[in-house]
Amino acid sequence: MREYQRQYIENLKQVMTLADAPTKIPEDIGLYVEKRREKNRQIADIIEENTKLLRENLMPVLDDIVSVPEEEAAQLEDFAAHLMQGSKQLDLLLDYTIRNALVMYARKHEKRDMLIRQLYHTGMALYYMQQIVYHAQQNDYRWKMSMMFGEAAAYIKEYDEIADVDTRGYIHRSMANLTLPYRWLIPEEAKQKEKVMRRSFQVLTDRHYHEKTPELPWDTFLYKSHQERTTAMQLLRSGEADPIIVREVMESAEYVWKRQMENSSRKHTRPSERWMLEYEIAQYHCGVLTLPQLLKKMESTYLDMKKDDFSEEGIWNHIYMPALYAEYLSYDPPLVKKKKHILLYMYNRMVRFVQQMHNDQLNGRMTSFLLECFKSFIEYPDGIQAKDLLLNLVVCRDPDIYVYLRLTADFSRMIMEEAIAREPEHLVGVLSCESAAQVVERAGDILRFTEECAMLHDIGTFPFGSLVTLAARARLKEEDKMYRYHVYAGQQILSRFASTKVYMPAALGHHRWYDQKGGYPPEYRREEDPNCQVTDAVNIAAYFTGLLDSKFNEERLELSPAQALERVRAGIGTRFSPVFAELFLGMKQKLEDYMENGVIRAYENAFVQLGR
Amino acid sequence: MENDMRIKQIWGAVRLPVLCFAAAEGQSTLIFQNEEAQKLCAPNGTLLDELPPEEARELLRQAAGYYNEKEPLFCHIKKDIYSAVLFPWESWCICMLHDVSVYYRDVRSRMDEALMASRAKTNFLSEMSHDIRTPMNAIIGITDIALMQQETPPRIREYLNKIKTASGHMMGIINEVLDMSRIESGKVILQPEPHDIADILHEILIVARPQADEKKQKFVFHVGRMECEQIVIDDVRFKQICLNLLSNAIKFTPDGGTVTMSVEICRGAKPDEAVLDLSVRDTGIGMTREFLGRVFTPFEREQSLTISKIQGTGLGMSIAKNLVELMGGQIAVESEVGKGSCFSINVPFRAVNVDLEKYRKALQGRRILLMDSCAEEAHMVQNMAEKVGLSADVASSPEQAVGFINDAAFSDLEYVAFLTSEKSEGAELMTFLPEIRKRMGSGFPILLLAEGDWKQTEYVFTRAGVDAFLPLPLFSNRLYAGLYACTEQGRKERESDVTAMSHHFGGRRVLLVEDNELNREIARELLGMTGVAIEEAENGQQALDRFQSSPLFYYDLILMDIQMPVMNGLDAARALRALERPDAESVPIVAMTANAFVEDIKNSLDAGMNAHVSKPLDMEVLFSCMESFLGRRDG
Repeated sequence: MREYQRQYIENLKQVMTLADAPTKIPEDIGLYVEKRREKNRQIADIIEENTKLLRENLMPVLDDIVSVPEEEAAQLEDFAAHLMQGSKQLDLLLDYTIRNALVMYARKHEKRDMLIRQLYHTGMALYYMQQIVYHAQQNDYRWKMSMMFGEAAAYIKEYDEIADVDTRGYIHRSMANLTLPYRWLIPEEAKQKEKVMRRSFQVLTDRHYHEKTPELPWDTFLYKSHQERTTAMQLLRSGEADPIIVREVMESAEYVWKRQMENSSRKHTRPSERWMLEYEIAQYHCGVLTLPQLLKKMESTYLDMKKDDFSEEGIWNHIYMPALYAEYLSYDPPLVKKKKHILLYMYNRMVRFVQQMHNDQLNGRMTSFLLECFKSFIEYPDGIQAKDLLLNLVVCRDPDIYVYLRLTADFSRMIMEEAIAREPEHLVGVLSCESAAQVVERAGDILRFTEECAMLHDIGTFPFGSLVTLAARARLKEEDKMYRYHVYAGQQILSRFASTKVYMPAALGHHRWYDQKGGYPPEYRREEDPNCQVTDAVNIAAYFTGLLDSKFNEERLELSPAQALERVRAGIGTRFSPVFAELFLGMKQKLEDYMENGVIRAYENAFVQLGR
Repeated sequence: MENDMRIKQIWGAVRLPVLCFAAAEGQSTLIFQNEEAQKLCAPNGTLLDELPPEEARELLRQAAGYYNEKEPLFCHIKKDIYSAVLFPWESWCICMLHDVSVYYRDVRSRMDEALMASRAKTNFLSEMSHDIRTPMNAIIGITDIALMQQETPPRIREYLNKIKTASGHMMGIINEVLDMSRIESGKVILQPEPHDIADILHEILIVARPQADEKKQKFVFHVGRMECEQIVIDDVRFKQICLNLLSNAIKFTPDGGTVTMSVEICRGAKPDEAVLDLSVRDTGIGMTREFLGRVFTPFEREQSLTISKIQGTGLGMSIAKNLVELMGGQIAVESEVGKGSCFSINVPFRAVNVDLEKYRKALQGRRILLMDSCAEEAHMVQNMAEKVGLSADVASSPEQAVGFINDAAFSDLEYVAFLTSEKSEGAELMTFLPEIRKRMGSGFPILLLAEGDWKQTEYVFTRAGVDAFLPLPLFSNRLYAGLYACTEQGRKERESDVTAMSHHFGGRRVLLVEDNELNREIARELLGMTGVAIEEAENGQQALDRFQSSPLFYYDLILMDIQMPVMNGLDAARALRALERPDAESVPIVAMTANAFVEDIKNSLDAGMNAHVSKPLDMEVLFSCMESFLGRRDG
């Protein structure tokens, strides 16, 4: 790697360390807040340095990638590999940018081996990117991912001309990964997925290829492919699978199970609970097990696991298992009632588990598991409510985020209190209030609702967490586009439950300008939001809060309340509701007073919530 | 006898000339004339003898029972004029004559004046048309030349195309004004020729769409069944009808409204018969029930505050109706005030069977990849493709398209081309197409199905990797031609066309006779591309002199302007044909005139010319005319 590349990676790691949440409740919260502020300043400096490093060294190279010497291209490739560190994804978007450029380089210079390799890695970067935006129901990267893997895999026609073993490996990997863009639950895609999967199996089991390249890890390839094929279990669960698919899934589940058993007996370890359970599930779908038997197996697997197992297996068991269990329960409505206590136990244990997880475990996979859990979440009237689950799992996950939301909620509440007192007629319509008098009468409800909206408005950033919190440079254009999807993700999450639907407009519209001429997304229409005044208030409060903490604004600023208020003033009537903005500006002293201890109080609250 | 008495008693005393006829088996006989009538006759003669024979015949005919004719019957008796009023009375026909000499002469004189004024108007318009057409000739011709320059930048090319379209439309307007009087006098003669309906509709849309866009209206174009696309029709008149309907709809629809044009062609009872149904529906101000009855009357406009602010002559619908009826079709209108109007026409015409063999040979058994998120549209393209034996893999999204490309890479399947609609779901085409280009290589054809005036987006899409554009709505001929051009045969054909064009008439000599310097320059440029040798004359006399002084069979063709000083083209042609030399009779003379009326063409043919090309010169028409006389002489 070049010196700037090495420095960049170092800085990345340093930012990760500086941004990590405390593992214990600090004794002196005031000192903690002060230290955290200092850390944030250091992060801001690093970000500036990193951005400069890239701007001065990397960008000129990428601008003219086709002319760079071979040695430079090799350095870039090495740099990109370090940015990903396997699947740790230190800097996913930068990796993607570099890989994309290297594809162009390899194509231009007709470097076939390099091209195949870069196509594969670009495809992988796109896969991870797609995983993120998928939660916002966006599919921006699927076609390109397919294009990259497809082009690399198509080199199988030139297999004999390719001498490099690794390159041959990339061809097989790409061929197997061609299944990744397709989803089982979309019928047309499922067919395509089946087709490419069968093609990949055909090649992987073809002795001809094994003989040509015996050095390749064929067993691993096959094992991974079988694992992938078990994901068709989704199709089985939906009842849409045809008998051939059922048989294939069964075969794969059995293959994986056998390998697990062999490995465990060889290494004297327990086989993976996850894969054992997948095998049981496959048996259920093939009619070998009944639903109660399957649920029993799940319960015993769940109870057997350690409560503090934060390994990948543990995360799956604690977060994904409740999701699966709830889904299978819903197959038989009487069971939903009968097994209520077990499911609630699982949910409560999951909340505690997530609260105790470390930041470096907060990866894409965990996010996906949690979001799956929301999908199948069963809301009992006297059990944990979806809203509380979301607040507990997502909001309380990171104390910084909690504090940001707590402050936003408090400022939103202050705006509304002021509005109820001075401009109640402006709030007519909120929570269906028909008059100013009713607004005053229902002040408590309105304030509570406003606070909840503010606490949940940024719920959509959850799947985008790593794009925000671990950023160690200025945001790239593509990243910005991805990040903006968080409003859709919020909309998606909140739309799933009756108890959270009401907060959806605030999640969707908190970045949209009041005059609807700026901000995003265009789908938010103020006139369609029944509680648009609340969204207006959250909009101002969130913007203001973000400016006080360098972690929560793109410019990495840490402004005083007075400075932040000036920014609010600049947006009166355009970005912000003129009525609320004026009220907010009139609260300058109150805000400054709040800030004296407000942040510390919020952190105290956060640590209490987190139970650390 | 008793009857005779009754007639005499009743009608004999009337102080007006009265005739009584008896009718049987469609024939009538004069049986009585009263004293007043007798006064107008020679002694013992009848009034019928006093009438000019044709008037007498008509009187007898009407008296035989045809007295309900709409045309008034005037009788010229000596120097006076009588109006004959016929009516049945018991079993007879009574004819009363009123002296209308004064009134008749007065009206006649006014009519003569009007006719003279009308003739003067026609002459004036005809003269004026020449004066307007001459500069238009320059505008259109120079635009054509500029468009043919290879180095013309795309944006300038786009402007030039617009100038070409707009100036073509302006020529149409000039013709329309002239047409009205000709239509009224029944002198319009249709010139049906084989045309591609796609071309006609495309030209209509190019004019209408921007008008609707300007008013921020939604313009919907719906194509229904198209059982044949090659039709024999007077395209100029058909476009005139459609544009009249469309411009009216756009004009009377408020900003933001919707104008919908629907068209379909169905086969008739016989194989070469077809019927075109076209409707133009709008969400405009509509018409009152009272005005609906007068909407096709010339110069009629509804009197309301809203409409009085909208400019118009009130001729458009009248011209449209007359032309539709001239084509043997019908026009109908439905309307409701405040809701909008719908004009529909139904025109029969002769269908031309297209030979698809060339396309079938090149495309049969091959495959295209089509990306279109609209299933209906994709299905239509697929059906069209199948007619020439071409299969289509249809992707509704970029993901699916890539899936097909990936699948093809693992088999021996090779796509002839990638067709994509302008709207794609799931990815920006500007991002997607360059990736397709990279993946499939530079030689792989990418065709864009473009709605509207694609020239506006040509630059960006070309940069994104698009090779060609197929305008929507798509017609099968366009699709076949577009795809054929992507095949090996198509490519070769195109290359040879380009080569052929430059050598087409090499070694041939043309005498260009034109008084206007600018027009000569344009013609020179256009002709120059064909490889033909050009000599010039500035008037008919010069042309005649040149021809006379040239060796025998020196000129292969003479292109002759009509209106020229010294000697006009008609006189020159006549004089040339009268020359006593063997080539004087055989040398083809082609008239070039802006007066493209049938009678002008007839005049030029009468003067000994062989053909006529209309000015402003259309390159394709000119070349095809030259080809018919000079033949093809490749390389």
